[in-house]
Amino acid sequence: MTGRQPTPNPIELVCQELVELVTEYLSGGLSPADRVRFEKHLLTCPPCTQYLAQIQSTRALAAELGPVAPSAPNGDDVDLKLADLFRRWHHKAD
Amino acid sequence: MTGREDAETVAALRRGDEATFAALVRRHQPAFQRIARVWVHDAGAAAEVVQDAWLAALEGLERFEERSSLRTWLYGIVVNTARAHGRAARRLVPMSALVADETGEAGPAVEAERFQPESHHWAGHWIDMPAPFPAPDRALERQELRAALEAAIAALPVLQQQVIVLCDVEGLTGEEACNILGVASTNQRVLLHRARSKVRAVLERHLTEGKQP
Repeated sequence: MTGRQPTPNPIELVCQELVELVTEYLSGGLSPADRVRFEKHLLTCPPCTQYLAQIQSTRALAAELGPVAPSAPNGDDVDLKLADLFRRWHHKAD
Repeated sequence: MTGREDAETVAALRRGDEATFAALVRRHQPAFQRIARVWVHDAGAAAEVVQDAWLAALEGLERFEERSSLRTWLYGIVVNTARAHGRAARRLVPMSALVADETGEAGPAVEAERFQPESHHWAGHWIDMPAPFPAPDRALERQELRAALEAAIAALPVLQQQVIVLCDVEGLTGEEACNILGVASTNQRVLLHRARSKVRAVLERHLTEGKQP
C-alpha cells in the first residue's frame, strides 16, 4: 500500500510475502503466530484483502464448473457400454 | 459417502447389482472425465481411459480396503490409468520427477513489478490495488469467464492442473488429493498454491481487459 504515514514494521508481513501464504492460510496450515500476522496485515491492507477475495472468487468459480465438454461417444452409448462391461465382469467373477 | 455406505456399495457390486453400478457411474463419471482430460488431451482417448478405469476398478474391487473412501480409491485408479495410457507414446515420467519439476518452478504468485521495489520506503507493498472480480451479470459474460477459467486450468503443468481439479473443481480435501496422487502434503499445498496463483492472474487479466481507464 502506498501513501501511509507510519513506518513499516520489520516483523510484520509485507504484501509481497502475504500473497505467498494465501493457500496455507486458507487450508489452515499456518502456525498460530503466522495466522495472527496474516490477519493483522489484512485488517489494515485493502489491497491484500482484495487479493484474498480474488483467490476466493477463483475457487468459487472453479467449484461451479460443470462437466468437461462431452467426449465422444455420446452419453447413452457410454452407459450401455459400461452396463455391458459390468455384466461381463460379474459373469467372469462368478 | 461414509465408510458404511462405501461397504454397502462394494457388497452390492460384488453381488452383481447393476443399479448400484449405474448409480456409481452417474455419480463419478463427470469427475472421471475431468481427471482423464488432465493427462490425455484427445477426447476419444480420454473416453477410453474412463472405460478402462471402470474396468480396472471392478477388477481391483477385491483389493479395496476401507482405509480410504471409495471415491478417492476410484479417482486414484483413473489417475493411474490415464498416466499409463500415454506410456506407449512416451516414457512414463515418474510421479516424483513431476513433483520435483512442478514444485521447483521459479516464479512468485504475483509479479514482482506489482509491488514497491526494495529501494522504496514501502518496499514489498502493492503499488496499485488489485482489481475486484465483478460478478458477471450476463449469461454471455459468465460463459466467457468459464471458458477463460477452463483454458487457464488446461494451460497449467499436469500436476498443478490435477491438484486444482481435485481440490477446487471437485471439492476434495488436500489430504484426499495427496492420497489419490501419492504426493506429500507439503508438495500438494505448493502445487495448489502455484495453480491457484496462475489461474487467478489469468482471470484478473480476463476481467480487467479493456476496462482500464
